[in-house]
This record gives sequence, structure tokens and C-alpha cells, in this order.
Amino acid sequence: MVTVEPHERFSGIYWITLEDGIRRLATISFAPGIKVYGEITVNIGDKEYRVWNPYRSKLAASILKEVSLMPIKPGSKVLYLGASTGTTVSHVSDIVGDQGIVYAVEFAPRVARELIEKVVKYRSNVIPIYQDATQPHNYSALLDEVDIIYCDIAQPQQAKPLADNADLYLADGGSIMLAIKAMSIDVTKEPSETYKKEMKILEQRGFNIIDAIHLEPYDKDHAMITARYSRKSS
Amino acid sequence: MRANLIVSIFGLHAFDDDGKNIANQTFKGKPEEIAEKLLKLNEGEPIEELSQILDTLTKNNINDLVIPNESLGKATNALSFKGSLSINRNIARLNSVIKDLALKSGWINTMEEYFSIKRAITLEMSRILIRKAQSKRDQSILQAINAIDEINKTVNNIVGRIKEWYGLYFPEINNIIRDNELYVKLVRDIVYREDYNSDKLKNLGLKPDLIDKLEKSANTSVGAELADEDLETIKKLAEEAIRMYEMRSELEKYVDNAMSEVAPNIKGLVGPTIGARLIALAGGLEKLAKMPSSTIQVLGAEKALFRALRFGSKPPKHGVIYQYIIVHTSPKWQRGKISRALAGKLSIAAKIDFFSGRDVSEHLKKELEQKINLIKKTAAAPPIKKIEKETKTQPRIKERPQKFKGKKKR
Repeated sequence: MVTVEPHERFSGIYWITLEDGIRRLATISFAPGIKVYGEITVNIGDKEYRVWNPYRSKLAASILKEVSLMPIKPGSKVLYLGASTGTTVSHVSDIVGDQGIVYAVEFAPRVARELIEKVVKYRSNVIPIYQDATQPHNYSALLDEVDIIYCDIAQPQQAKPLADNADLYLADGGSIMLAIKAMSIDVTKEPSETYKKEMKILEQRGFNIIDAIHLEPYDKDHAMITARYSRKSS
Repeated sequence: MRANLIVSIFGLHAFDDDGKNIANQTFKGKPEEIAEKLLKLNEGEPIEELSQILDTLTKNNINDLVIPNESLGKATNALSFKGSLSINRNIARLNSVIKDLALKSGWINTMEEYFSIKRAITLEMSRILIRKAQSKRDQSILQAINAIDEINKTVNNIVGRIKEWYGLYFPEINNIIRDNELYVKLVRDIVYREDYNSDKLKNLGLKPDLIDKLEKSANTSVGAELADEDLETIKKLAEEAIRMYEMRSELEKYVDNAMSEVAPNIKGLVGPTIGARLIALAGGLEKLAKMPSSTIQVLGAEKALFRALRFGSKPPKHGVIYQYIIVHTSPKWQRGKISRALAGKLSIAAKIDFFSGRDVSEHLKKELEQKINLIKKTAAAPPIKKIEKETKTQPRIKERPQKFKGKKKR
């Protein structure tokens, strides 16, 4: 018996229980009939639910690990740095729906191509930006103010580009989510050097850290940082 | 007077320091055309609209411009703007005002329209940029595949030398081990005849029947005795050969990856190696994409092709695509037909790879399989030889020039 119920804290996200009795996260597909990464899809009523795999998506992993704040909701305007092939982007697109928008920034040709062919093509709320996320001033013509920046760029230094993007595009009081390399399970107790440095940069650039959770067992070497941004008047 | 100049998807806009809009120069045309203009600005190249708005600003005594990024500065400099330029990245924030401006001034009627236009433009921009980034890589593929071929030649030479040299010491092994790579591994790891025992050979992953044979022949070998120093030198040579094999497989991996990025459809049809050879022979993906399929069919058989054109011999049926397994395993009378079908599909694949980049290789493969199955059915039996010679097309030169072969016999 397949059942579905809304997530108790975050709107646009659902718990779906499949025949095997296991509860899984899911989102309502914004592009029904199109699979992005071989995910399970279930039709209930007139909606198609896409099961959200936490091993493939750090955002799903954070939700399962009880992140205290997950700002992405229906109608959100999200700047997504490091969109890759669009696994997580597709679910973010599901959540924000037709009133929201996702700016997906990716700079590696092969993955960007896949992102466009598999995700952007079928989703009118995703705007692709093939640019280097560390040079945010170069795509100012294509972007408006956003409420949330989600950052998952595979680089050791992420805080600086994230803050640079926030200065140009993030609304005052907006939130960020940052997937960061963190080797130890309890990032707050034994943080690595990189991690400490990055945190410091974030605090200097006007972010108030709300939450830092490790994504074990879904992702062994990443933590998810959530923070709020208060713009310094320059 | 100072003004901030920014670019949006609608055009170029100037604001004064209080955020009041003082001048606009809007883009006309389809999203595709606007994408081209924005890309030009990104590259730092001037466009018509920029020169127009600069004129307007100069007329209004504005000689101090603030711009959001370097590329816009480059483009402005190229138009020999008289005033001073300064970069302030934060004015990128002014773009949030543009939406309302666009609605008020009637460039768009609804917010939905704004986003759909923006999406069409960014899609087109991304596609153009990705295509550009990809097409540069085809030159690397070309070099890598040529390097693989050169390594093959070199390594075969060296292995031949090792076989001859080591054959002095242990001639029987040449008939037992046929695989060159395995041969040099044995030379490197074992070297001495008395060390060919089953334990060592098992560790190297040989089959039991080979192990038996090797052990027996090593014990009863008729080879000459070589000094340790000689054998060590052979061993060093073998090490070198193995390094080359390793390099070769690394290059093959590289080509495989690069091919999925640059030419997924060609790779899907014939695999990375043949695909890369085609790109190399054509001199790049763009050239391959612009070739007729008849040319693709005989790429790599230029010698035979031009011989055919000049002297009227039989034209070749296939170039490198002969390496495609179905071509060279089919009976002779079907090969030409299959090559033609394959070349046709390859030419479509190359065009899709270069011009759009969608991966439809599965679909192309299916179509090709159907075609080949049809050929296998209709041309199952060899054609009946005609006794009368058909009139061939008249070659341009009747006779093949006779090579002078020394003295004529009387």
C-alpha cells in the first residue's frame, strides 16, 4: 500500500511509503514523465511523486539528518552554484514550483550539457547559467535578486565565491546552504583546518551560522552549513 | 556627471547615483540574436547598442562611467569612449530594478513573459558556450589518438626486439605466449629460465595449460646461456615496454572520456577509438560534421581512393570504418553496403554532435542495426559473377605508368 503525507516541517516536500514499508522523501514532479537520474516515480491521484535519493543529493541527506532550517519552499528564488548534472536541481525545481525560480550555475561543459538536456529543457522554472561561479559579476545581466543561495561547488575554497555571489544577488536576510568538505563526523568538535577557515570567512562576510550537520551515512565527507545573511551596507 | 551602466537581457541601461534611470538602449530581435549580443559583450567585443548608448551619454555630459565587470569595460574602450571608467561590482544589484522597468516601459506585458524570454536567452547562450568549449577539445582527441598509434608502432618494434633478444636465451616461449603484453610481463617479472615455476606463473594469472607448457620448455630449453648482465638489460627493456603499454591504456581512457564529452553520438555508434580516428582523419569535429557521408566512408583509404580516381582501379569500400566489427566480420559482398549504411549514420551523428550535442546515439544505433539486418537478409548469398565485363567508367588516364624496372630482358 503506497501512502504519501506532507513533511512535518518543510512545505513542498513529502514522505512517501512504498510497498516495502520504508518511508522515503519525495517531491511532486514539475515535469511529469521525465526521469532525471533513474529515480523511482509514483503516481498518486493526479500527481507524480519523484522519490528523492539522499545518497545522490546532499540536500535530501540534510533533510533526513534533521537540518534545523531548510529555506527552499514553494515560490523561492534560488541561486544554485555548482548545479552539476542537475540531480538536486531537479528536486529544488519541484519544490519551488511555477512561482519560484532556480538559477543553475555550472561551468564544466560535459555536466552543463547534461544539465541542459535532462533538466532545464523540461523545466520552465530553471534558468541555466554557463559561467564560472567564482566570477559572479560576469553574469549580472542574467540574474535578479534571490532569497536563497545553495552552494555545492567542488572546490576547497567555497566561502569566498559564495559570499561574493551573496553580495551581488542575495536579498538582505536571505539564507544560504553550503555543502562543505568535513572529514570528521562531529564537525563542531573536531573541525578540519579548511572547515575552520571557511567558517571564519563566512562570519566575516556577514553570515550568521544557524546549523552545521554532517551528512553521514549518506555522504561520508561532507557537512551542510546553513546560515542567514545580513548585508553590510557598503 | 557620473552614471552607472549595466547590461540586462533587454539592453543597456544607465542610472544615476540615486538609482534614477537616465538612458536605455534596448535590444531588438529574437532571443537567439540577443544571446549573441550578450556573448559578444561577455567577450569584451563592442556592439551597436553599446555605441549608441555611449553617444547618448556623451551628449548628456556624462564623462564618468561605472560598470559592473571588466568585459564591459573592454568593449567600451574598444569604442574609444572619451570619459573615465571605473568598475564597481555592486552595481550588478541594479539589475533587480530592470524587471519593473521592463514592465513599466512595455518591453514585456507580464512577469511570466520576462522569465520565458530570459530562459530562452540563457539556454541559447549556454548552448553556444558549451559547444565552443567542447569543440576545442576535439583537437586534443586528435593528438591523443595519434599518440596512441605512435605508441603502438614503437612498442611493437621494441617488443619485436625483446623477442629476438630473449629468444636467444629462451626460444620456446615465443611459440607458447602469443600475447605481446603478457610476453614482456613474463620477461620483466621472471627473466631466468629456472624461475618459471607454477607458483610464480599462477601469481601472474596464467592459465594452467600454459603454466605446464612453460615449465616443461623452460626446463628443457635449447636456448643459449646468457650472462646475468645481459638478462638484466633485457629486463630493463621489458620494463620500458610495459610503461608504454600503461601509457597507452591511460591515453585510451582519456580518449574514451573526451569522446563522451565531445562526440557522444559518434562514440555510441562505433566506440571511442574508431570515432576518435575519424575525427583525427577529418582534422576536427567541425570538419567531420561538414563532410558528406561518402567521404566519411573512405576516410583513411585516401591512397586507394585516389588510385581509383586516377587509374580507374576499383574504388575502396571503406576507410577506417573497416575496423568496425560488423564491417570486417561480414562477407566481402556485404561490406560495401554495410559501410555505406554506417557512414550515413556516422555523418548524422557527427552533425548532431557538432551542432546540437544531444545524445541520441541509442536511436541511431537502433536504426543502423535495422539497416544492417536488412542488408544481411537481402544480400545473404554472394552475387553471381557475370561473365561479360561491365563497361567501367572511363578513367582519366588509360594506362598506369610503367615503372622502369632496370634493364629490359631480351
